[in-house]
Parts: sequence; structure tokens; C-alpha cells
Amino acid sequence: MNPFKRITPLISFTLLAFTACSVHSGDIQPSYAYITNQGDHTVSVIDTRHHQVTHTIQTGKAPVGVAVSAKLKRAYITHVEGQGVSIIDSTQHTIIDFIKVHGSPVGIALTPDSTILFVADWFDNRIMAIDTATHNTIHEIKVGNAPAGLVISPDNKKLYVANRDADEIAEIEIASMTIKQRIKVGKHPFGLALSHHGKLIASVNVQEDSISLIDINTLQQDKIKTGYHPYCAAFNSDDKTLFVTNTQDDSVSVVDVTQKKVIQTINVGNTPEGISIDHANNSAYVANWGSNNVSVINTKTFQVITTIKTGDKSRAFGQFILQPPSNSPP
Amino acid sequence: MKKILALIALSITTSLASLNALAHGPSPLKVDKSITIKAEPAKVWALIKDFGNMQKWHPAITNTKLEKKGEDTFRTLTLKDGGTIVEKLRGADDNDMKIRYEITSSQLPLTDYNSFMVVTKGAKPGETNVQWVGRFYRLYKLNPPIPAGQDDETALNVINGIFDSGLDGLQKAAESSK
Repeated sequence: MNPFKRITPLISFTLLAFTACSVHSGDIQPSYAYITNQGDHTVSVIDTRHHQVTHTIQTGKAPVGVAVSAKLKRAYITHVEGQGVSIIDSTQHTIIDFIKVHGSPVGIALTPDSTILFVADWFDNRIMAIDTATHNTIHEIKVGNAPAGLVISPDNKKLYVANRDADEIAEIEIASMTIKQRIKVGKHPFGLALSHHGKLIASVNVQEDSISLIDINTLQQDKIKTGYHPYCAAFNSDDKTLFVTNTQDDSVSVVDVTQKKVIQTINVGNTPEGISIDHANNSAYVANWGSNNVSVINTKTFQVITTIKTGDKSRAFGQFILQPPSNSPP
Repeated sequence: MKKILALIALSITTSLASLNALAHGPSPLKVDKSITIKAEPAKVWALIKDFGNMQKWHPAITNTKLEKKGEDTFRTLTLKDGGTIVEKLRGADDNDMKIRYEITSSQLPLTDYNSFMVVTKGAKPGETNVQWVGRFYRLYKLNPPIPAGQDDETALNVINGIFDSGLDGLQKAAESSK
């Protein structure tokens, strides 16, 4: 009789159990930050648990905008000079498709239900709606001059577009694909941010060194001074503060949403552009175009906790953190 | 040197297009150059921070005129070919030895130019590192095709030329015994 016959399955079982345990240790799956590097035609994929670049993906020419879907396990990347959208499989970190767009796509956003991808053509003043199942363009909407930042309401019903050279936000009803109203904001709005409850929208007014904070229901608007040439913004997990990147001050302004003023200024790398927050680990990721890296800010203490080397001219314009559904904040 | 002047001269012919203050191209361009100079950081910084005297170290510039407009400081650079560049000082920080400025008007084939120069101690005593970074856009602001002379390459060539000859001139000025 071979005594090992009984022991081997036991060992296997123990190993399996151990492996399963280690996968779940910390209770979270990795979140990834997709950082577009416009200068070297790559996307740096950062594992936000370890603050490390785990993959560098060669893309088409000059990647800029990012949208992600945990549901579809996809990241979508705009190529303003390459005239199209690359689709990355977030489980393999490889490009699986390219959607040709005749124009100069910059801004990009997905409906929260991941059914429609919206892409803004910077020069032809239009928004394209792309079906994420078929990759076909299902609609085109004429908007204002130089459409840039895009955000979509949590109920999938409204798309907001920053029309940079029209100094306005256009509100589009997604069901009818028509513009319902135009909201005047400060000079040259580029990035937009929407609070998690969907009631507040922030427009980043580049040429006016300010943000416009707008109550969607009442349209009451407050202007708050930021640093020099702000670019993008992101609401903190509790919607009580807003982080704004100041491209020409190499800093991030922390705006208190209730007090309507900047309560802290954080020094980051050179020419910070895109910003997104990983709510599971209370970290804001800031893409520094000038210094080719990402500053990571603790969103509770407002301190820079680390800097991660990425590629040439990091931009990451859009919501670029892919967070598995199980990591949602309580 | 000749190449820069030729490019600057060429750019004057396309200058009307640059008067449009609205949209710029979608892809900001960057030139990032560094040099090590055998001189004390304080000496190099003194040359760089002297906003009204760029002709002292840049070989393409014959004259610098400093002007105050309210709180703001501007300089008008006159180039060897007669062209001019107007720049606004954004700040000069003695602690960080860093100066920031931007072009407010010029005939260069580019738009929305801003820049910084930063001085740091070199690896060896008596040595200084200088980094010069410019951010700007090409002149052409619409969907492709992009006309010759208004593309990324033209804009990059001009700034690369200005930076290369400038850093070379800065080195000569700082390393001279004066």
C-alpha cells in the first residue's frame, strides 16, 4: 500500500486553498490606470495596488483620450492624429480593434451601462455615438466649436460636452440624441467632471484660470479661481472636494465644494493634465505631460505619496481608472 | 544658426494665420533640452533671470526691450533678421532658480508657446545644469491635410534651433571670464 496515495490529494487541496486565499487577500482585485503617452505612442498600464506600470501597450499615433468599462473589460483610447479609437482588452492588455474616425477625436466617454461610446471631434464640431457591441457609429450630433471634455449622467440619460471655443457646455439627451440646452461657462472650458450623485458639474475654464461649478437642476453657477491654465478635474469619493490640474503651475488645486474655494494646492510634476481617482484606495492619479510621469495623491491627506514613470507626454484625458465592480466604495 | 534665421524668415510669410487667437492644434509639442556648463550656478542663473538682457547670451537676438504694463513684465526680442518676439514674464524664483515666460506675439510658425528654464547644481563643483523646456502647438488648426510650413515638424525645427543655439550661447557667456 502506498501511503502517498492518500496524502497527495490532501497536499493538492491545501495548495489550492492557499492559492485561492492569496487571490482574495486584501479583498480587492487590481484596479488599473490607463495612461496615454502622446509622444511615444503608448499606453502605460498602472496596477494601482502596487503603484507600478505592469504593461506598456504600443498603440496607434498620438493617443490622448481614455474611457474604460469594467463590465466589458475594455479601455478605449482616442488618437487625435491617428484618426481613430483603439480598443484594449483589459484582461490581456492588448489592442483588439481599431475604429476609424474621420476627424480628430480627443474627448471620449462611455455611458455608465457601457452601451454607447461618445467621441468628440475637436475640429469638425461634432460628437459621434458608437455602439459598443457592433463598433458602428449610430449617430452624429453637431455641437459647438472645439468639443473637448465629455461626461455622462449616472442614469445614462444625459451627455455633457465642453465646447471649448464656444465657452459653453451643451447638454444632450441621449435617447433623442438632441441638444436640450447650452450652459454658458467661463472662457475655454476643456475638462469636465460630474459628481457621483450627478447633481454637480464642474467645467474647467482654461483661459480664465477658473472652474465653473454648476448645479444641474437649478443651473446656479459659481466660479472659483484655480491655478494658471487649469485643464481637468475629478470629484473626490465623497463629492465634498474637487481636484483640478493646473497645467502651467505644475500643481493640483483642491476645491472645497461647499465653501467654494481652493483649500490646498499640491505640487505635482510638470504640466499636469488628466486626473482620475481610484476610490478603492483613495488615490488620485495625475498625468504629467511635461515630466513624463504620474503623481499619486492621497485623496484624504492631500499629500503626494509617489511618482510613477510613464511614457513621453502623458495626457490621460478622461476617466482612466478601471475599477472592478467589487471594489466600489461602501 | 543660418537655418534658424531662414526658418524665422519663412515664418514671417505665414504670420497672418497666427493672428487667430482661437483654437490651437490638438497635440501640444515639447522641446526639452539640457546642458552642463562649467560655471557656478549663481553666475548662470544671473544671466538667465535677467529678463531684459537675453541678447547677452542668445546669438540670434540683437536687442531686448523690457516693458512694464501694470503688474506684468514684457520683453520684446529683436532677431538678427529684424523679426520680433514679445514675451511675458510669468515669474522668476531665486530659490528654485527657475524662470517661466510665454510668447504673447511673434511671427514664429507656432502658437500658445510657454517655457521654463531651470538651473541646478552640476555633478561636480563649479558645474551647473540648465534645462530649457518649451510647450507649444503647430500653426495649423484644422483637420488634415496639414499644409507645409504649418505642421509639427516646422514648429519643432524652429524651437529646436532656438534652444540649441541659445544653450550654446549661454555656455559661452557663462564660461567666459567676465
